[in-house]
Amino acid sequence: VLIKGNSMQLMDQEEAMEELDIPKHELRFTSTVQVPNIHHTVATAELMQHLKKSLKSHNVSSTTDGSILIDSVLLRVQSSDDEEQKSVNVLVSWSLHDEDLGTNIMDLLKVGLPVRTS
Amino acid sequence: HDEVIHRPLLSGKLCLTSFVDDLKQEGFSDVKIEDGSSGKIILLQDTVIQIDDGSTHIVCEGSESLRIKLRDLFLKNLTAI
Repeated sequence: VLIKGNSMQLMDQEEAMEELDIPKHELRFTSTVQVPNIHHTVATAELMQHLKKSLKSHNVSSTTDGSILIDSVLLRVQSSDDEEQKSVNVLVSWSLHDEDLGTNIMDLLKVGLPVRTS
Repeated sequence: HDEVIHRPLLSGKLCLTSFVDDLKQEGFSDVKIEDGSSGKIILLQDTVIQIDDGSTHIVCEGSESLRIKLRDLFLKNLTAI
């Protein structure tokens, strides 16, 4: 709620900060997580599918450079020279604004993808 | 019903001196500060912290508890302008 003189207005945090000319400070984190039982050549597609199922209330999209974007959370699968490697490293970057979503995704990735029965 | 999630927006400026003092007090003995292209860069134990006027980026390859500690120390030293 923004109160100015005798008027009161309901607006979101970002609008209120702009209205009051308060400079924003963005805090971002980047960490790498190792996802077990997945090959790097199919990792982005499989992670995308898994995250779409697990995070139904969020918009999971892909970017032109092959990363996955979920709100402000960016995921990028690190390529590997070792073709035999059965896990991938995924770079996860998120803003403090999406701290809950970011840590939730880190936890999801640590557990790995569900084993397919087919 | 939708869960109400607190999504904080930050404002202010980081007080670098007290942030570094707090890091040392928390046991990070090897804290290096370098000049970056647009701000300062702090290097410590598996972590790079890039600090600019309107943004800070913590690249942490350590544990989640280390990241949380750095986050909380950062928030403690972010002061209103």
